[in-house]
Amino acid sequence: MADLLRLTPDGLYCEAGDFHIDPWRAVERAIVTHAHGDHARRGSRRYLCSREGAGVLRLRLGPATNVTPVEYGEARTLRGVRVSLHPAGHILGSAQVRVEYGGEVWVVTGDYKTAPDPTVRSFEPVRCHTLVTECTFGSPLYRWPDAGAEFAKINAWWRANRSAGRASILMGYSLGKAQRLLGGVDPGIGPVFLHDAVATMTDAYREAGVVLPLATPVANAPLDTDWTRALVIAPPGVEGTSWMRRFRSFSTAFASGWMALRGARRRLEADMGFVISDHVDWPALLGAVRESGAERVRPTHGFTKLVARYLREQGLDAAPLETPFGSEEEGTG
Amino acid sequence: MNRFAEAVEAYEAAPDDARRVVAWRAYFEGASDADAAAAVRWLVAPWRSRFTRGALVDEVRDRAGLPDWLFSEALRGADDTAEGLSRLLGTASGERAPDLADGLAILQGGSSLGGALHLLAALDPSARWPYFKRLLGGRLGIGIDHLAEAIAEVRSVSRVSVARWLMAGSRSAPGWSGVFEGATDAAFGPLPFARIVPYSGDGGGQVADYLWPGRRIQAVRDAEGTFCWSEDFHQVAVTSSALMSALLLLPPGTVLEGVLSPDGRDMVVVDALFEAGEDLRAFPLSLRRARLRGLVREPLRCPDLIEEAPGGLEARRAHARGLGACGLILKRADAAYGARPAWQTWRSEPVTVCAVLLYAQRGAGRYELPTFGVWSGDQPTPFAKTAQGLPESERDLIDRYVRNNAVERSGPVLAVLPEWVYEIAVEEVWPSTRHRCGLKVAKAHVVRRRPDLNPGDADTLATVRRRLGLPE
Ligand SMILES: [Zn+2]
Ligand SMILES: [Zn+2]
Repeated sequence: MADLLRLTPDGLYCEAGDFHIDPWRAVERAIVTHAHGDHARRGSRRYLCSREGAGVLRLRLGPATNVTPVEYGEARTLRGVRVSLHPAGHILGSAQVRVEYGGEVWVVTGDYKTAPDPTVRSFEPVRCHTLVTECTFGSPLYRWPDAGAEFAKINAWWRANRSAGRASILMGYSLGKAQRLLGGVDPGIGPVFLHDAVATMTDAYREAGVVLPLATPVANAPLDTDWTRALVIAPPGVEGTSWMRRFRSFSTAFASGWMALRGARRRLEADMGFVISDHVDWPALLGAVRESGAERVRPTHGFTKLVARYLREQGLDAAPLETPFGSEEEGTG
Repeated sequence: MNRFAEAVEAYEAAPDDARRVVAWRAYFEGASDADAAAAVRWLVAPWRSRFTRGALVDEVRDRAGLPDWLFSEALRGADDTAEGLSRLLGTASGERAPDLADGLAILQGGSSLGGALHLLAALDPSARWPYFKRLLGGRLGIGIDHLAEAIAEVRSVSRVSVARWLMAGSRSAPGWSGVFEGATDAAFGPLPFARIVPYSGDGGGQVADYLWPGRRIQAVRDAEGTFCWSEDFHQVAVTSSALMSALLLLPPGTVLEGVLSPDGRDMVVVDALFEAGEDLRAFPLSLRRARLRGLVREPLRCPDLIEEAPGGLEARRAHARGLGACGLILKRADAAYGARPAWQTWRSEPVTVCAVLLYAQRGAGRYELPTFGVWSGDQPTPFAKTAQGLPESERDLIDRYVRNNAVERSGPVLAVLPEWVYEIAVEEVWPSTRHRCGLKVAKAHVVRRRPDLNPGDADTLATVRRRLGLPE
């Protein structure tokens, strides 16, 4: 029997249901796991995503985009193929896609994490025969520290900057990471400001009902703002731009799973690196595979060959599902 | 043990000296006396790991529970073996980690390899790095000057006495109480060095010394002996016994400034800061130099101050290379030691050399530290290793070129055939017996790639030596 989902030049395709999942080219019907740029591309006729994620998806793809929101767990039937979305714990509205046809169940995880994050709905394991799992950090080198301990380090860095009279510029991807950072820091230390790109996405989070501490867009800050006590959350890439000049004296930090390794921290343009990731690490990846009960695993996006070989040796039918995901990776680590 | 590792990490991440000091101050403020002493000993005292790299890797491999191929592949993906082992030992075991003093006693003492790893397994993966690094025979790269400043601030003692105590500790294992015992004899240096800045173009009313290649040091004669200190508070070894005898003949309580040749055999002294307990620093340079001349004897050298009109200084600078110097240091004859304006280095014009690319060493993820050679007969001889002056795009180019054209690999170095020619500006060279070309290029930068030149157009060692004013 042909695979229920297979790769085509447009992306992952379900022939029986005639839809694509996270296609990288414009297609007729796209099911989108989440609104990050390497998963949600413009130009398709119709999009289907979780209700929680619809707001940010429209922000990313334009207000005219034809988006059909569905509740988590609510099944849709597309040409006889049952499709439902389930929380992936990655960012607001991120979903795993469950596809069932003729008694065969596939789950496409999209990006996901199983570690707790108060700004998103927690990952829910879904049983399936075939699991298409991301493996951005699928190497035994990656084991995340406890996020609470990492946030304590961020707070300590902020406090130290405040006493030294320096603004604290904390960089993380504007959708997802930035809001997790806002939700995790201690707002008692000083005022929090947001880069405009971050502020837009943060508004979408609030509209979706996520409770986050107060924060002011940098654009709305009075001219005489005392930045030395402030934490400014900004997307990576602002370093060295004229936007930074207003802060005069500042320290920069970058929050990402990549910061787990010394080499990455050394190559970093920022002063500090904090290990806050919205992806699964090695133990969580193996745990998710186990909990899915899948006999077949198709790792994608990351250490695909390594994960496939390891799982094969564990007795599973595993082979990489190569996709060009990651070619436009936007630092979503 | 986790807190100590955090301090090492914060120190490494710190973008400036002030924050490097803060990292250690934070550690020592919260450390017990026993832990603080153990930390200092672990950072500065010599110590040889009882375990080989192979034994450590095998033991972690056994504990990691991963297939061999996966373990090896993951290890290769880490920044260094210490990081790879730290992470592959797995998530913290959940057992309570001992205090630093107890933990280090286990790692340094008689425990088995299994015992050492059992201990490290209790730490967070990221906190294991400094311990694995030293067990693997590596260094942590913590500056004694930063450590001294942090301890001095926490314990309210003078930084100099702490630095001296730490240096003593690098020969034997110090106890924490030594900080206070050492605090009494702080009078005799090393003292703050006079500031030196690059020449700014204003040269009126100045005298000069030649800028000799080598390390700027203070020779401190105290009641026990003579110790040479570098500007960053490291002790520098004098290797010639004749030189050491001359330094020991100085009266106790004497501090001189000089330049020690790279092989530690030759010293030019240029200033006297203390003589037999008397502080000379407020006296004008001309007077200090006269006192200095009365103090030194062979083989210490004390050249005369160059006194010339500005035009004459320019000529002296042009001829400096012929004397083995690399320029002038402009000073004022009437100024106190360390007074404004600061001394100014007026380097000789760099000597331009056309050299061929021979190897590139792997740096942060790419082969970006090139070694250039000049011809010695029909053989290219390695000459200068520098990436200074190379823009990002040229570094990428070198990275791609050596990857695609490597003829030999040795460790982190890829060798290519001598085909690409670069123009190198050489500012400072030291004679060296350890380098095949007979000199060590201490300061140089790449001017540009010369695609218009053939490898045969690159310079020969003989022409380079002639241009640098060195004997052939
Ligand atoms: Zn994502
Ligand atoms: Zn992604």
